[in-house]
Amino acid sequence: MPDPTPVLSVNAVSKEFSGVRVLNAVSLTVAAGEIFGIIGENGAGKSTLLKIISGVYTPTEGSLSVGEVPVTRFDPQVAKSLGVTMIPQEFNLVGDLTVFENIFLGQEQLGRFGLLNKRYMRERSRVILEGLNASYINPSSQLDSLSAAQRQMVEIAKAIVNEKSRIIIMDEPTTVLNQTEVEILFNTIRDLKARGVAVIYVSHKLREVKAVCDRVLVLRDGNFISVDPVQDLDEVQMASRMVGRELTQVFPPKSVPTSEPALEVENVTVPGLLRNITFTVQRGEVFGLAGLMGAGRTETAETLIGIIRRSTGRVRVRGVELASGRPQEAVAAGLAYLSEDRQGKGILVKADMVENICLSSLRFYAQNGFISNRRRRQAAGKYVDRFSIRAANLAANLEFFSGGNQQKVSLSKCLDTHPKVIIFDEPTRGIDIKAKSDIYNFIQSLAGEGLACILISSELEEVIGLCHRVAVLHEGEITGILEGKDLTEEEIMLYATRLKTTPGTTGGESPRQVEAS
Amino acid sequence: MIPQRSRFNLVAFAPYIALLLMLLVGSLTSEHFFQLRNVLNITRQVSYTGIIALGMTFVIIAGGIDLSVGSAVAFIGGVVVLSINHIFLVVWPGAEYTAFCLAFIAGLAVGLVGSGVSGFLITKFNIPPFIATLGFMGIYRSLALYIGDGGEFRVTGSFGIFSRFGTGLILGVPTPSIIFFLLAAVFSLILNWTRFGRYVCAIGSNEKVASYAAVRVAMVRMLTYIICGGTVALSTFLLAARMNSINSTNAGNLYELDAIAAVVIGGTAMTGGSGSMAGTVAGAMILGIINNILNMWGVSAYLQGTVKGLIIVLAVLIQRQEFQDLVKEGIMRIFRLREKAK
Repeated sequence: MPDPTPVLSVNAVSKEFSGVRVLNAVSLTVAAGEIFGIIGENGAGKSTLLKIISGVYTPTEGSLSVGEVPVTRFDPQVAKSLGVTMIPQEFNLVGDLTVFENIFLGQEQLGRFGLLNKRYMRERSRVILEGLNASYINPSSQLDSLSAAQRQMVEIAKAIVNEKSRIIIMDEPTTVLNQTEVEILFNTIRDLKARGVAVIYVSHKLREVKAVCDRVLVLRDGNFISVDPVQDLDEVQMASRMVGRELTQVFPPKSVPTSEPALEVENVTVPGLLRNITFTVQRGEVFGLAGLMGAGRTETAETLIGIIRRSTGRVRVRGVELASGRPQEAVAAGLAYLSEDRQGKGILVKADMVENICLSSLRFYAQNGFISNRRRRQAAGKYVDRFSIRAANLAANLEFFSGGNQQKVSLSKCLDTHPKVIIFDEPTRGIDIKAKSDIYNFIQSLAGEGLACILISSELEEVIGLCHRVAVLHEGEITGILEGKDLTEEEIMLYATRLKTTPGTTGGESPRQVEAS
Repeated sequence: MIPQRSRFNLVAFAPYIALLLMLLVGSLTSEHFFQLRNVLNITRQVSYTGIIALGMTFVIIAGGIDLSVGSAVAFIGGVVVLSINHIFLVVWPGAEYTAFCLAFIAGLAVGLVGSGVSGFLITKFNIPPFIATLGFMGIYRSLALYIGDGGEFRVTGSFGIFSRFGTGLILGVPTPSIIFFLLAAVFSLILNWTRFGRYVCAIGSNEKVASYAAVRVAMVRMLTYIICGGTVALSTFLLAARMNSINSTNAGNLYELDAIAAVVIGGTAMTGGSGSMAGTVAGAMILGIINNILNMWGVSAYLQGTVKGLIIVLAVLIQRQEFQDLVKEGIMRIFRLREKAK
């Protein structure tokens, strides 16, 4: 039974940014030893609420208390001293420091003469990582040398090292974790619960919320919708409360691919990253790249568009050979890449939509060397209608957009170069259900128009729901290309962990032969 | 998992390899090079800018820069000399030790307060450090010129303790050299074994992360500038004691170049986040040895700035990934050509 005295109570908290109300009179209580889920679309106010609880934002109205203590000054340090720890969505680690220095950052242990007690911190980090089944992470390694999943483990270790933590907030902690690592995380959360720590768990993955949380809060457009014990809601009910309507079919019907090759990749190799990558994508086909974190999916995409230089192999776009392997050549041939790192590589957050959408295609808008702003605005307006981008006006800066709308702008930018092959890298990461289903529809409609689409996604449902064929990668090699009835989550996992391989795919023959065998 | 690319970091050892190379070149240049007197002389020559470089290392690791250090030498030097003259001749005539200590304190106070103000402007109002310290560079030099009327601040009267300190030896080693090496050891301890030191690295590597970890970013960053100001004051005091005077026009001229060069040659990343005091000492020594060798070769003193400038650019170039990749690719290509030839 949860403790009757709540460890966190939020009373009618509201937050406004320059007159716009993003959180409206939200109240909740969390008991010690409770796992409290928060779900909602992007822009529903989850992040704002979390930032208020962790002391980053000061609420416009309402009050908050941690334990018996009313919070009067909103400051990360005050929140921390009250025992509130946050694992933010983006990595919150320092690349130049070692693993144990990161784990203890801001809560260093001092030894003699006030100097750092490195031996204790190293040893303690080792024990904690062992508890997380992550003993393969050396506490003395420099953080830069770790993979994304390993970093997430360090992030979790950092949160639980603080014995005084009473409330741990996890914002989308499983984005980069594989199934086994998610299980380990869940066990850790249950251990924390047994220790009486309250965990606030925010995720778009409703199945996880269902599996691990005790109660779940639904937010929509900044408003409180409901709080229920998790056993009273199924995933479909959660989803419909988030969007405020019944969700029917999530994935649109698949288009019919042609037999005309749009992209041919033969024996592409990058030493240390990729080996003999070979596949063909037809016009009108949605082709998936699946695999665990670090299997080489993004690297394959970056090699195709020339950001990573291949050492051997051939790439053809609609029969045109990309001989030099340079990005300019790939773009000119009609390859477009929608980066997984939306804010880092996809869009300029400090610029407006017109600027962003027409950035890669400026040459189409130039006359005698001068840009026609009227035509740029027309073009941008077209995409706003087509993708139903929700924005106050064309001149609004993207930093005020929700993740889903930013992604749509990023996609518009790709399309405005009139590509023949478009690579979507994690196109739905961190965006809400409504925007997700919009993006699924676009991908299918683009395929229907004869474009070849490549989809990279960690969400297997998505890969299966959208793709005609899926190549599964393991340690930089294709272990199999699945289609039809073989295209299931179980099969993909077997290939991704190399428990199963299709002979020939790794040897470098063409995919047609593989399918025949 | 793709095996992690090995991280044997040649760049981390580059300063020491370069130092060994320089020692080799020096010993080939002249048989006098390895004479104790010459070696001690080099350590003394580099100690003045070297001490400043130690403070600068904190600033640069935290992601900042301080261009005002050279001009600060002239201004602080003026304050030190004028304090000595005033105290020793007017306030307490003949009180050597009092004048010596008070002048040091006055110089230190000016150094700390000045850099505290620039640090405050940088952290509180988010002024780019390049601009804030460029402003102070102008202010310090102009004030020194104004007070000194463009001429020299000279210690008057028989104030022997000052030059005895400045030219003195401890166990046969010049005092400034001893102070330089001791300070390097202390700063190294601070950088690696205290919270402050780790926070300096954290801030330089990722300021946002540090602030979320409840590190007082503004405070730590301001402290790096204050420490740097302190090292400038210390260096100035030693320099003034050595020369018994400070010239308002050219004292500390291009010291910022030498100090930043020593830090960068020592392997501290200009982008912040990592670096070492030992590296800075090596960097300062490399610069000193190059000067020494150029002197032995009879190269014009006017050209020595060109050499230093080139070395800074080269040191930063070696740190860049793009350059390292280019070199690796070049080496691979040579190997491949050779194999083909076989």
